[in-house]
Amino acid sequence: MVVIMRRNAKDTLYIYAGAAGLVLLFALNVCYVFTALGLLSFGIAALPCVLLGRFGTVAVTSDLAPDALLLISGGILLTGAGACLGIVPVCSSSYGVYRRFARSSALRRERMFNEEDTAS
Amino acid sequence: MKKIRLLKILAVTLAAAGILCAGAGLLIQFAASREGYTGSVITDTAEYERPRELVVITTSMPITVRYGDTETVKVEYTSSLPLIVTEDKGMLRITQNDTFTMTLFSREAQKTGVTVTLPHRVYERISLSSSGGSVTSENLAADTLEFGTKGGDMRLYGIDERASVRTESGNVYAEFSSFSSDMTINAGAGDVSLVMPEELSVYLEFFTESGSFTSDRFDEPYNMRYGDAAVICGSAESHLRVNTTSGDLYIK
Repeated sequence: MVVIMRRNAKDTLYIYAGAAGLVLLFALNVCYVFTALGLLSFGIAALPCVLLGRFGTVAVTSDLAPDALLLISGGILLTGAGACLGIVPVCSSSYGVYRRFARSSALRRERMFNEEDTAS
Repeated sequence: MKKIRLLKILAVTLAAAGILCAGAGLLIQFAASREGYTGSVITDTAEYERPRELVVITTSMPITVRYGDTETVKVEYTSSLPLIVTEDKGMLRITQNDTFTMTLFSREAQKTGVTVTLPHRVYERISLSSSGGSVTSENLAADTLEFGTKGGDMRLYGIDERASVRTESGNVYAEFSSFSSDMTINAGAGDVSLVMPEELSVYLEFFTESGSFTSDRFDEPYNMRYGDAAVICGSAESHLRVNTTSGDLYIK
């Protein structure tokens, strides 16, 4: 069975699907920002404690071996720092997607309005 | 544009270095666990001569004290640091080491607690207190029984003797096998639940600022919101006094 969609319906579908996609993109960005900040703050708190623990100033309790703990907390700090630096490029490219969608969506809306106007 | 590209390169490089670093750490941990490394949490058991007095003080560790078929006092604990145990003039004193401890990636650290198994006898004094941990006592008998917490809950089973119970915001649950002496419970903001024996002869006084009193244990059911209460049960041979600020009292 072949379904032939009218142009108007196709445009409406595009606008709604695009809006849903943008909401998803926004949610992903928010998750990314919070994960990056969480990793960085955890690393900032954990690494100095692990280092102080190596010198015997603070008692550090962990199920991980001391060397593994140092590398893992250092790794989390580096990953968090990298992810935080990535916030600006990631958000700016998301904003670019949003602007492109907004422009093409406005064009489609205008075309739909013109078609309705001609039909009436 | 160049700045953004530089930022992207720096971000990806840092993140990749971090992931590699964490991966290396995981490999080291895998090798260590294959060699039998189990973590820095201590699980230990120690035995001590029978004392006349027992004092246990912790900051965050839950305390459990009970009688058992043993000739010596058994102390089992799981903790980040070793417990400090002193024996002096018949008094066994167990305290938690208060050194600042940072806990990272440790599931075992959640199992912290101290369990003391005592030989059967009536002791001169048993005092259990914890700031944040809970206190559990099972059928203990002593001339002086003291239980105290700040925020931790208390579960007291088979308390027959005169006992002092004091908490700031922890809940108190107590089961009595008989109630024949005077007792005062100061519970602050914590709720108090008491399970009374079948035969009961008590004069109950409940002083509170905003707590409620609920009971179906006495001749008539009580469901009082706010305010003090006094109940006479039987010939009122013993005296129970419960003080709270906002904690509720339930008697079964």
